[in-house]
Formats: sequence, C-alpha cells, structure tokens
Amino acid sequence: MTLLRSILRLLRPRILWAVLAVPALLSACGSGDSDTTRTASPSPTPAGYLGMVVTPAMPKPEFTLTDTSGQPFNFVAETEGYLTYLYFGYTYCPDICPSHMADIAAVIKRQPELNQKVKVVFVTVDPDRDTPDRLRAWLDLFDEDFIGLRGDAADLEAATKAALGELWFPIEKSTPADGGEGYIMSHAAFVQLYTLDNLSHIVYPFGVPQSGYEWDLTKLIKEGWTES
Amino acid sequence: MRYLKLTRLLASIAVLALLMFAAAACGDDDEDTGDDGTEEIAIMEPFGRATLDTASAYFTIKNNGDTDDALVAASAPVADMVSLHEVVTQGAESKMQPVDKIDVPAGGETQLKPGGLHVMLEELTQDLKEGDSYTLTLEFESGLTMDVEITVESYTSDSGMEGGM
Repeated sequence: MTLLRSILRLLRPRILWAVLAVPALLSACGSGDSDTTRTASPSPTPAGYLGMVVTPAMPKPEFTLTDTSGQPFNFVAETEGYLTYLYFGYTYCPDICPSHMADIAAVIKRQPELNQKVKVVFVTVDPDRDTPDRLRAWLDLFDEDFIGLRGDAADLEAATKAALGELWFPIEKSTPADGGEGYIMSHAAFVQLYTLDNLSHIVYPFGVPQSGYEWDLTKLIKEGWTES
Repeated sequence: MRYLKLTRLLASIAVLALLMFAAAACGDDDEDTGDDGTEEIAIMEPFGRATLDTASAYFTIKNNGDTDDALVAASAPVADMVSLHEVVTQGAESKMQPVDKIDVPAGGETQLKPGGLHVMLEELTQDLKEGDSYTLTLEFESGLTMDVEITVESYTSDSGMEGGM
C-alpha cells in the first residue's frame, strides 16, 4: 500500500517535470539567442532558492564506495555535518559533468571558508575507464578537495538506487558507432545537495547558473534549510 | 489544507524557477557582428573547453545563403577523434547522443552550446589548457569546408563565455 502510494506520488513530483521541462524550455529559446549575456544577478524564488526544490525531499543515501586513495567511504558517516553535493558522472563526459564541477569549485574558490562546511562527492559511473588515478587527476582540475568514488557495477547500482530513489534509471553504456573504443555513458541529470538534516531538498539540473549555486549555498550556510 | 497550500506554493516556485532559467538561457537577442553578408556560412562566437584528454567546441552557425545546409563533420589536428553530439535528458538521466549532422536552415542559424549540441574531441594529441587555441575544420553538406579558431575557456554551466557573478 505504501509502495503504491509512492508510485502514485512518483507520477507528480515537481522534480520529474522540472527536469524534463528545463531542457525543453532551454531549447525552445530557438536558435536566435547567440548572445553571451546572462542575467546580472539572480532574483530569488518565493522559497529563495535557485536550484530545483524537490518535494518530498530525498533522504541521504546509505552506501559505501571506494575513494581515490583506496579507502572505503561511507557516504552518510563521512558527510555528516557538511552541506554535501553528490553527482554521478564520468571523466570522459565533455560537456555537462565538468560544468557542474567547475561551477561548484568556482563558488568555493571565491569563498574559501566554505571549504570547512561543504563536501563535494563525485561518483564515477564509468569505473572501467575512470581508474583511481584518472579520477583524481580529473577532479584536481577543479578542486583537490573534491572526493572521487568508485565501485563495481553492483555497488554503483546500489548507490544510484539509494540516491535517486524513485527517479532511478539504469546506467547505460553506448556501443560506439564507429566500432572504436570510445563509448558514451548515461549519467545523472542533476547534482543533489544534502543539507544538515540529511535530506536533499534541492537539486541542480544543467542550466542553473554558477550564481545560482552560489546564492543557494550562501543562504544555506547562513540560515540552514528553510521552507519559506 | 496547509498541505495543499504548500503544494501550490512549491508548484509556483518551480514554474518561476523554470521561467528564470529560460530567461537566463535566452538572454537578449542582440544581433551579432560578423554578419558581413558575403559568406554563405558564418561561424560566430567560437569557443572551447577541455579536461584531461577530452574537449568540446561550441559556436553559432549562420546560414546567409538561400539553401539549407548542415554541418556533417569536424576534424582537428589536436584530436584523433572528433564527433558531433547532442545532450539528451530524460527524467533523472542525461546522456550524449551522436548526431549525423547539424542542420542550418537557409537564412537561419543554429547554436552549439553547453548542455545542447556540441563538437566533442577525444583522444587529444596534445594538452589543451585555458587560453590555448587550435584549428577546427568544419565540413558542410554543401561541400563547403572552413577552418575555425577555437580558444579554450574554463568550464561553467553558464550559457555564455563568462563565469562568476
């Protein structure tokens, strides 16, 4: 019965249509927008956040994967007391994955005191190619404190299921059309942000500007999560 | 009752947020320079991004001619593999999809941009860092070939080339 209710709820969570609608809207801008300008400063939504507010909030996932130094990393235990970004991506991703990492890194670089309060966890969906060394080198391009995690297929599936809940999708690996070695992975469409209550109330689909990350983070550090 | 109100509030927040993203992404429709009317195909605002051995290139293709055209291939001396891609998002899942060509209608323009269409460079033959430039050769369906200078900029999901607030 509870399961049925969950499934019914799945049919109308904001996040689902929001994630679907954002790219649609972005592409609906047409081809006329060749500008490089963007809004000068973010104006807050009624709730005051520029990321996507998720309701109901998603619980912090329980999983243990291996960090780039080979140590086990228990996500819940290691991130307790920190505002924590979690993202499932891969290092051969040329467009979206590095953009998210770069935006978060830029915000932390501008406000170095955030380093004590924020953790960024990047889980590779491509452990075959993303060796610990490669993952470390890639994350270091953005911030040496970013945490990189790996696991085998079963561990990864358990971690993504725990994090994405009803929004879970199986990670896909494309077959290279040219018969070469390159292939494409599917990955999460958004970064999840866990607040000190160990819930993810806000996610960041592609399209949230860097200033949106900064706005929300500054607000959350100052006030903690508030619903209004 | 309270729950209902909250639900409605959240729904309107989501709508507002969406409108904001759309506005930020669209920006204003300033006409670009580079429209000199002599070239059938003009490439505007080219820029690139790069990580360890993977890079992407973005630009706007303007078709000043009166026949449809399409970008069908790209190549660069700095990469062993160059392909045309589009990012597709469905629910909580995003992935790139190879595309055979990128259409540019007569009199129109098509924008390659972060989170959308892009040229992906793999197996880089040299390190690409911020500020580095390389030549990207574009091939069109019409047979036209042209070289574009791509300068590597820093990553950001912001729609333009600038970062920060």
